[in-house]
Amino acid sequence: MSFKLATRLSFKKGIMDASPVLLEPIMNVEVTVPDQFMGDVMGDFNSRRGRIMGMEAHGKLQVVKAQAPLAEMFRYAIILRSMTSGEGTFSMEYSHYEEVPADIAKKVIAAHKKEDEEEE
Amino acid sequence: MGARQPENTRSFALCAHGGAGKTSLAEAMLFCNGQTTRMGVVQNGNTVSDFQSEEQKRQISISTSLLTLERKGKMLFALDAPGFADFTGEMSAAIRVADTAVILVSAVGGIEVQTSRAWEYAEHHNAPVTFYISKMDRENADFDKVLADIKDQFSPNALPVFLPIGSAEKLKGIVDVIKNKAYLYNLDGTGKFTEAEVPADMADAAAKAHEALVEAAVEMDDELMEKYLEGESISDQDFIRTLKKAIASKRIMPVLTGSATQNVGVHQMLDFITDYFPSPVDIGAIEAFDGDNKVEVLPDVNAPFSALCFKVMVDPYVGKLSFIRAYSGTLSSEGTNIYNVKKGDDERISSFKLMCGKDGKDVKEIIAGDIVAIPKLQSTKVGHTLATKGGAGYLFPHIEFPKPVYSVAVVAKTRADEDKMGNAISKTLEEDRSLTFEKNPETHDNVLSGMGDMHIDIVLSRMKERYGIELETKTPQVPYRETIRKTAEAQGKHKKQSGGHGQYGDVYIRYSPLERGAGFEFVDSIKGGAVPNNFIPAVERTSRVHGVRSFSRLPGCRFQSRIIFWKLSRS
Ligand SMILES: Nc1nc2c(ncn2[C@@H]2O[C@H](COP(=O)(O)OP(=O)(O)O)[C@@H](O)[C@H]2O)c(=O)[nH]1
Ligand SMILES: [Mg+2]
Repeated sequence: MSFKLATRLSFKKGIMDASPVLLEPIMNVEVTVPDQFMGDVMGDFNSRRGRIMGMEAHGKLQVVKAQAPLAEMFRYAIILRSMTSGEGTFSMEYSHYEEVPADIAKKVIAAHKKEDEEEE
Repeated sequence: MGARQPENTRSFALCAHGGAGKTSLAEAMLFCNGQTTRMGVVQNGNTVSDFQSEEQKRQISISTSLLTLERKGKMLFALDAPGFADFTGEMSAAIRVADTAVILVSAVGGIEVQTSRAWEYAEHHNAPVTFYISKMDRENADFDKVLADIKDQFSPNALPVFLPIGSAEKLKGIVDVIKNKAYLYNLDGTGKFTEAEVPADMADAAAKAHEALVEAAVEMDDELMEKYLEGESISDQDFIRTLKKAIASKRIMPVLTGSATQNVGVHQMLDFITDYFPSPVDIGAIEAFDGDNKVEVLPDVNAPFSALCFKVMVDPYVGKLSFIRAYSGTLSSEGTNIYNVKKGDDERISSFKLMCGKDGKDVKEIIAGDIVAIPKLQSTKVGHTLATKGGAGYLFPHIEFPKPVYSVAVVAKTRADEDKMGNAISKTLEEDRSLTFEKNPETHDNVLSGMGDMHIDIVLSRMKERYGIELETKTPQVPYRETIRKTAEAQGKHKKQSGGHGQYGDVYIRYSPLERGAGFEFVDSIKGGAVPNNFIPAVERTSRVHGVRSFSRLPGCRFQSRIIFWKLSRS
């Protein structure tokens, strides 16, 4: 018991001294849309902390490859459908973890803090 | 029924953008064929196809319905597939198992997103296509424009077989350019018509359309083609023979038209389907696999029986129904079992059902080409190949469903709901192949994924209705992790003097980052024998548990770094 508590005390201090950061899953996203929606789709990725990795033309369709945090992608099926009047489709898979920007990490942690205190 | 032959079978999938009129057309077909005494209306929730309460509530089709029509000694199997984007998997499966894709395009709305998707699926499955320009009775109906768009966007092989006489409130009927006859209707929904000569002002257009069909049809026969090019006339018999061939091989994609709700042209459409749609024999061999070997399966009634399950419906009253398309052989329901080639299970058949919406009529024997339902099969799932034990040993390619793109976390409302959740979800998954369910190991969320918000919404209300279970949805949690960017050391000392018993623990731990993806590592670097070993596991366990919830204290957040435990002292 005492060692358990001692270990926790060490953790609290040690980790804060070691520049802790939050990591979040980043997804590989592939969006297929008709030409005229390219601009909208790419602009939208900017607003969801995404980055465009490449583009390819497939006949009348354009395939946009991008990476974006999972946290920003939960409603993408609905957003893409309304942005392209249903013509766009996409697929998404996990790529890797990346550091969450500090300002966003702060918000995420604050949002969960309350819940956590209730639990303890 | 006598000895039925696959030559006398027609199957087709009605597919289109949601709202183009598929369900209404199916309803009119049943009525015209004398199988119903009254035409149901989608808005009134009393059509044969839309029998599920969610369909009636929302006035849209959600899952594929099977309708069986008997006409002039032929069996017609119609699949009314849902049109909305959330259910494209159902549409693709319907096109896969039907011999013809009937693509409806509204004369008012024209080509829409899901129309193009239906076209793509028909191309993908290499299915013969017939277009139907619907709703000719509606204001602003424009047959010519929609026909031009179909030719332009899909294929120049789209050639009109029916032409509308008038449009909107002036719709009078249709001209059949093969027969060169007009069929005149009263716009009263009764479907009563009279045959007449082609109206004088349409004679040119009808003759031109007829000529276009002849010109394309004769391409199917070199000799006939030469005759035609030399200006000889082509007999009706030759024309009809080659026309059928041209339709089966997609050289001609007939364009039909009419109005479903006003019941105009539906009789002629049924006759056209019966007379000209390809039978399973015209479609010919279907591909299957025996191990790595390709097998060609022919619709031969004397060959070993084989079929593909393309839909499973779980109804709380009827129980489970497995929908199958037979590709070869003959199977009787008396005293036979059906063998699931994929699972190796032998299952008893109670009956075969010729379906019409939710109602089934028992039939003793099925043959290659039939589309029927079998009640109460246990292990058979969508995509499984069925045969008889020791018979056909091949497998049909699996039915592909689109991957889910929209996820929610579901939470049971009450303890009772939680107990029922597993069962309700597994039953729902069996029916709906574009749905997945998974417990996220990090966030512990129960994640339900589907094709869109409407899909998930329907799934949840159906579960509530059928299994009495209420689930709330939340945005899934992100499985965050944490790491540190530099090395730090920290001592942790716990000391408590309570009563006679003293508690004391003093540890020194070094925290250092690992490379990306390397996870968590606990290193015990205490020199052997310096401290009693039995304290070390306590430190390690706490490190791991604490590591999971450290600085951010986010649920399920895994901490990734190296923890070097290097000193421990005890008084
Ligand atoms: N005026 C008119 N309305 C139609 C016709 N066919 C369907 N509708 C209406 O269009 C709407 C959608 O029809 P429905 O059959 O459910 O289309 P589905 O989604 O393709 O099955 C309903 O309100 C129908 O009453 C038609 O031929 N004429
Ligand atoms: Mg419908």
